[in-house]
Amino acid sequence: METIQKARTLLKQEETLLLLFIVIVTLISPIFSPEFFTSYNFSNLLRQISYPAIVSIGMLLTVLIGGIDLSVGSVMQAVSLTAIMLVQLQAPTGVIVIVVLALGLFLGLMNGMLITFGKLQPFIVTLGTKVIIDGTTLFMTKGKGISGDASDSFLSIGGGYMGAIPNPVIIMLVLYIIGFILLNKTIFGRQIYSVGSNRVAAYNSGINVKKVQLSVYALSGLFAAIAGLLIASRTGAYQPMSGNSGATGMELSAIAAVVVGGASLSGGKGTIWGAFLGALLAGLLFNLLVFLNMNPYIQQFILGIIILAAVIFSASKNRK
Amino acid sequence: MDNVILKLDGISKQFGNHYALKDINVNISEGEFHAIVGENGAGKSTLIKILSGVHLPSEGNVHFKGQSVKFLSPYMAQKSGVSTLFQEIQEIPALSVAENIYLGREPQKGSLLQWKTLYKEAGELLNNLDIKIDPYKKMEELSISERKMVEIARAVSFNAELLIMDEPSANLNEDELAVLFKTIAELRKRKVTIIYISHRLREIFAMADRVTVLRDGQHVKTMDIKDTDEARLVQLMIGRELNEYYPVNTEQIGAKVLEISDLNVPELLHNVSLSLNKREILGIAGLAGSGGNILTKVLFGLVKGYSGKMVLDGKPFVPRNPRQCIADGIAFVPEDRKTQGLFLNLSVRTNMSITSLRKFRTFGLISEPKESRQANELVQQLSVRPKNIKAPIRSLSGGNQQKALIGRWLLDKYKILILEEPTRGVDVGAKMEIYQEINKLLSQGLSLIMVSSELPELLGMCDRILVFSGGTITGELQRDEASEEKIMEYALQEVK
Repeated sequence: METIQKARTLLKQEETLLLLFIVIVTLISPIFSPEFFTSYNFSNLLRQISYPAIVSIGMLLTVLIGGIDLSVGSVMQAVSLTAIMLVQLQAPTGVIVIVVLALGLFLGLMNGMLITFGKLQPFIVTLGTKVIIDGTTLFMTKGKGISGDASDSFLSIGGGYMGAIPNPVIIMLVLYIIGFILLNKTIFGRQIYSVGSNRVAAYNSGINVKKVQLSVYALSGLFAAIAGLLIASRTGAYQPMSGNSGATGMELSAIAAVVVGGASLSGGKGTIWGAFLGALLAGLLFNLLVFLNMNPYIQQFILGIIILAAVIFSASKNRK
Repeated sequence: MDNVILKLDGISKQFGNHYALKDINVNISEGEFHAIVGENGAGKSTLIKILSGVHLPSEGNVHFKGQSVKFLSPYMAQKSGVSTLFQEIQEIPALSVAENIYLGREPQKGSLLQWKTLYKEAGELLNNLDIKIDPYKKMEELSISERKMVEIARAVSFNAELLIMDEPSANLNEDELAVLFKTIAELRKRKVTIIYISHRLREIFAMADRVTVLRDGQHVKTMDIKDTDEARLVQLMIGRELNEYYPVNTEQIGAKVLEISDLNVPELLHNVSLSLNKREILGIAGLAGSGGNILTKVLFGLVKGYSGKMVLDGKPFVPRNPRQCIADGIAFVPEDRKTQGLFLNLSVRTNMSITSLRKFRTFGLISEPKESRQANELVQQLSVRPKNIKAPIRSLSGGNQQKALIGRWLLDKYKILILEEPTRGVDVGAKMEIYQEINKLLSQGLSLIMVSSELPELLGMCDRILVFSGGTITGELQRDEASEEKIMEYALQEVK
């Protein structure tokens, strides 16, 4: 009796449903592409997924406090560009890593300060900073790609492997474990949920709401920077508008992952496990669409449908 | 009995497994002033919601003017002649008085609004009711009582034959009350039947013809007001003698914990000085806006720009924000638990542990077993139901939410616990449990400040009561000398 009850509550959870979808997509993919189960495709696929998946961690944090970060794709671009410019200056790899991560942290902190101290809407602020960052990178590159003579150590960050697994995938997994601990095992994590659930009550419980908010946006910038660094160091080049593999539309992919993973855009609800599965499912679906030789513009269309379907699903669940 | 206008025939309302109302049978005659009394959670609000078209009854029938009716919406009820003055103000602040009165039924020619007619009709309506409010004024510019008057006017404009008033006198001062009562007298002249809900028994004895008592969703009794008195009515409401209801503080009151001298907040508090002793329950009384809850907000760091000297446990105390006040030993249960205290979608456990998470850490990480053990003990101790610490707190009843919220401050040591409206929206059973728990806190050496608009609660619980009026303390009453009359006398004292 109790096991049935347990199975029932398990089935009702979004995560179980997502897992089911992921299995289905994985099982039908080989029908359309014989090379789906080859190790080459598999590791490539996971690497593709790792970029939006990493960005999704930061996005989840902002969504959990009832905010959003639309600038993550642009931060990735700016970070990639900065990394390659430093490569051209022949800066040591360690310096490049520190500088670009600091840049991501700084850009995120700017968002956080404007939202917190300017008392402005996260949507508008991050949309504004997105446009500013995009404009700056376009101005500096005139919209062209840049490549540099990158050192092997730099290229190995995003292009290397640990055994058969690409580095970005390892880094993604490590970051998800850190994210899990952060959200579930630390006071800061509880504070994030509390602020998202009820800001006034959080303040009345002695939580430094401003500090939480600033930290969350800074972290979102940092996660975007990590993804940007991984992309730049895989190819050793900065690509301006690089379609699916690049940073354009990354904010949408990350929002999709988080929402499909069961997070509520009004804050206080969502899990890291859900965000991970959401990113995985979105990546697998894209892969499938590529196999189907679908027009890339149709892929955009489908991304939109997935987001809407997830929102409708979670809304109908909440109403019950 | 003469013409029955409203007949409640076996009305029950179920929410889940819980009966909010069970088998209510009342007949109300045309032109009658019928009072409904009962403790919070007795089912008054549910009954009103059924009569006004917010809820449908689960069982039973409502007969209005001899016909069985099913009101599917408040608008439908209004069109049939049943208007309701809800406790929460319903109007749209940015619109004018006239627009609010005729909201949704503005005079039109074709699809164009007839503004002139709108304001003319509103003016006449207000005039007829002897309400002196300018129909062009924005609602947000009016005082609370004026807004109530506008809502009454709106109800009358539907040609209401039955007007239901839910706590219309709450938050009104003496002058505003006089206006309300005059308007009610005017309505009675027009033979409007009135169902009147109020905690203020004196009003009921002054105006009502008959009274119905509800308790725990059950119909206790309906009787002529002449056949009863306040004491007997209260006894029917709570179902037991008053002195069993409130536990007595048997603790030895100790030395001074808090001393406040000359506390001022521009426009809100003037020269407030007081002291609080260890293991004492200090009550704060006063009408809405009299300043009592400003004092408590200063103490919890929620008010900026105050001046004055405060000493807590022998050390200077300067509240800046809740974080610092909590660290200094102040615990705070806010008046509106849903918006100011609870994380509704988070678990009971998280709601209770949020202020003391540091205690549950091992190697910097929260240890869930430790946290759960403490939370479980607390849930047991406070008899929070259901006993599931993982349930989202929104799924609990108001009383259990309140117990959990008080529990939040029992996981750590504090010096002073501030309780604002500790039993608002809590049913009778839970209320008693909360009183018992509050009393137990004293033995742990805590001092309590309790702000409440329910006088019986203050009289029953507090060792000492301070009465506020116009932002200053107008009276101080010891337990043995305090009475509702004396509190009201001080509360209504004019302050220059």
